[in-house]
Amino acid sequence: MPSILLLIHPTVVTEPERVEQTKRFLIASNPEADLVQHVVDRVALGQQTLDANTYKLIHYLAPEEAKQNKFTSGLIAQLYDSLVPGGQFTGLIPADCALEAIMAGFVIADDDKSWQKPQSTKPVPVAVPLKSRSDNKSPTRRLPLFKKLASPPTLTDSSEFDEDDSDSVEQSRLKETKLVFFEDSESDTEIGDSYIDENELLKSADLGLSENLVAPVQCTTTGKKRRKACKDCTCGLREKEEEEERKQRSVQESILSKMARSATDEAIQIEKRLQAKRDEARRKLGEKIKFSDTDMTEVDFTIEGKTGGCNSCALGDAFRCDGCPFLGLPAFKPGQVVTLDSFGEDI
Amino acid sequence: MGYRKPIVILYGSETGNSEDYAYCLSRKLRYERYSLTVCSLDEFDLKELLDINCLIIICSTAGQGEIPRNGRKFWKFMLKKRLPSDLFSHLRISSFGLGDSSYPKYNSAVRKIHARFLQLGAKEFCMRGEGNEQAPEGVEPFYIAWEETVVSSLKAQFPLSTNLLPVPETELLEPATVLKLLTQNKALDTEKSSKMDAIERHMDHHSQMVTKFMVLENKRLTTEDHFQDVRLLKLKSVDCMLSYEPGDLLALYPANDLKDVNALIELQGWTNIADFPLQIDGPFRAPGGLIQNLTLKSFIMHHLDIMSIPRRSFFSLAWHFASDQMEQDKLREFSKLNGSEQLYDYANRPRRSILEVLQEFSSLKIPLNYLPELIPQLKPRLFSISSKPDKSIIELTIAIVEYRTIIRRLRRGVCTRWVKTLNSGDLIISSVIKNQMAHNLMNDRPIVMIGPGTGIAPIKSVIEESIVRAPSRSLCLFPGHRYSNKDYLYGPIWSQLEREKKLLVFPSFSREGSGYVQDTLYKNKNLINRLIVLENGSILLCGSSGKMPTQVRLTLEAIFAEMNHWTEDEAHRYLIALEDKGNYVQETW
Repeated sequence: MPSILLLIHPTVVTEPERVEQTKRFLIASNPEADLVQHVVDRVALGQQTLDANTYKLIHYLAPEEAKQNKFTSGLIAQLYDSLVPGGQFTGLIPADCALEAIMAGFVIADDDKSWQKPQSTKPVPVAVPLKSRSDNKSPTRRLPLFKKLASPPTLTDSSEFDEDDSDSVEQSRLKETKLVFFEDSESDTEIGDSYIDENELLKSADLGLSENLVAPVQCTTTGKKRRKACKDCTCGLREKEEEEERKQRSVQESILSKMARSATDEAIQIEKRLQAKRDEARRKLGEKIKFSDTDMTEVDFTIEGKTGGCNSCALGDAFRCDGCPFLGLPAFKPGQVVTLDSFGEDI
Repeated sequence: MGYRKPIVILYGSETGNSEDYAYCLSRKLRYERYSLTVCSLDEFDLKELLDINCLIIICSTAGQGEIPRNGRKFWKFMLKKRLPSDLFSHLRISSFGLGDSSYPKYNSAVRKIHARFLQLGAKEFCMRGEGNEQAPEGVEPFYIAWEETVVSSLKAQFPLSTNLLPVPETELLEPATVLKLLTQNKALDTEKSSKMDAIERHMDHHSQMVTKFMVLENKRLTTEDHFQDVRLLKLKSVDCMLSYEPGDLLALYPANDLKDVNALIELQGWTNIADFPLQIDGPFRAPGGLIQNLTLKSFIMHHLDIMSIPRRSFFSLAWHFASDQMEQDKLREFSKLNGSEQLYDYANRPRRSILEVLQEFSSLKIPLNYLPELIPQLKPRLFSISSKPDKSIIELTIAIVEYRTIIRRLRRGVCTRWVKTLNSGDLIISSVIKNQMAHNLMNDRPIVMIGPGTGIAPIKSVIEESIVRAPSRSLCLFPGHRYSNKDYLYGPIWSQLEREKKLLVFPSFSREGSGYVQDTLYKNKNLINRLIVLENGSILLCGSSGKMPTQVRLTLEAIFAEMNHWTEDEAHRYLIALEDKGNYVQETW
């Protein structure tokens, strides 16, 4: 006779009314079924085993906060096994376990409120085919756990396991056991930890490090080879680049010296005009002198005709043509005051 | 319903390339609506591997085929013999390696990691990928192809709920962190307290153990008229007893130059808010711990690498923030996978900094919350310790990095520029990093040490320690410099030890006609062959990576072949065997 399993969260045990209420509800909706209850932790830890193919319904009663406590894939697989085909897992569905559930073989209801074991005992094609491509056997319900390798020890005697009947209880235990290996990594000084020879990893072909690599896409945009001198270039490209840079610097010198000259000229002009203004002001009122914005931006080489022949010299290197005389000098946007300081402290 | 667990991307990175690819991939997958965890191999709590199903590894290969430094702890765990062969039977993996086929151990780090995962039961969810720096278009086309495969395989094998459509590219993903300005609090004087701020940090279990040091000496070792400034930085531990060995490293935590920080703040219009206390909510893990007196200004100064060269991932986020259409288009172009050549010419070749890019794209205004994602973290810089083990003193030999490119302004290394500002009496924080480089080298058998330039740093520690611990040991040194009277680092010390018959020194001065270290090695082939082949000695090679290590290796092979009448191949295999036994150690950077 099919029965119902009520899984309870340890904290719920303190609320007997709630447990009773849930039991009454479950029995009412499935009058002919037997009801058993277990604490979820005992099942997860393998202290309580569940009979396979037994329950038509597993209901998980837990406080809402427990939603974040994920089920291990071992526990999920165990629940799956213990359900009869068509059976359901309901109640509080733990968050973020959908993938494990799917991998275990469950079908997840659209409203996300239950997991169903499919009617057919044949495993359903899973939504997430995590199998390796070479594996063309019928889809298995969960990941193959043990690969029999001669040298490194497996966690348990592998004779207890074979791949077709990999055991869910063991699986959850396994994760616990696996954790042990990581805890050790905290203490670096452990004696007796021996290491494999990493050079062997490159040698043995049977590791399956495939020679198959993703092939590069062909460069279709320019088709031209990258013009880049290697770090230890010997072909002359490095010298060519350095020559280009030297040339560019001498072009910069000449631009900057022109700028400096014209700045001096303009400064003299401005000084003259300001002097005139000051004289006038003094003559009139003796008021405080205020410079207008136009006065302030007069040392500006970017007004009128200073944007360069292609109109983008002013914009900065990203927009300048190859061989632009301004390459390497900062952008000077129209309207912006250009100070010689912005060209660097080493002019 | 669909897959909900995070996909974990772990990177092993020496220079930051793998890290950048990891973040590019994670952004790509976040746009597909997967949830992601991205961190370095060593930052990840390996226990969590038991809770996930999908793991992606992106890893470069360090000099001699080993796992990059930020994956060493992880790798030590993985190599444990007693791990069971089903440990990762629940995992589906893929990996991408960044390698350079001009090195003998091309992509061997990622291959080893991948093979070990398979050995421990993991299965591939898609084909793995390897990128070759030597290919005409570089790593990029390999990565593009692999990324496509990863995305399509994930969608097939870890489908998300069907009603989740990918996020449109034009949309911005939620920021991972929230930066709260506590404007009701009193503003701090960030500029004045910056040196003190740097040493007071919040420690958590992710951060390196940092301790306080006092600067005892910061002195130039090369003459003033020499082109390069090489510093001896002498530090004294203030709050703990040190324990280090030859070969170990010291991590320095540099700060940005105040002028650069202010330039960024002004540019972004943050001047009025930059000095209020700042609170960062969300996952921001600073390698040396977040500084305690946090303001926007101190955050930028101590934690963001604004002078680093922007990577592709920078542009793929940055274009969202430019209001000018033309600027937006240009930034977006740089973020495209096939725009890598253009990006190289714009950013990498002239060594353009993020700050300079922001200055050029003036419509780009960064929303505060995206700041930590947009600008990479300022990482500690590692230096080989050049003093012999001591309980309180550490000495470093640091070459100040300054050079010119097409960009007018002088390029300077953030850390070495910062080192230049240190005065005796200053307090700084650092951490000793175990390297185990010289584990096999500290014995009483002969040792040949080859160290051009600042490669001398770890060697000096080995020499000084050997003299104390194994006084009868044959020590043979090949330093390489330009001039005997300008940049011969620690020259007087070597001469003194030679007079005391404790050390054999064969310096090469390239600008004085005595060639490079490999020339001097060849001239002393008898001695070298005797020490290594006949007396079972070791070789330690330190210095900059690139041509030098390869040429030294070829020279050694030639010497061994000639002296022992071996074929080229026999000599080659001899050196590999030496390397595998840990008797040929190369520490290059």
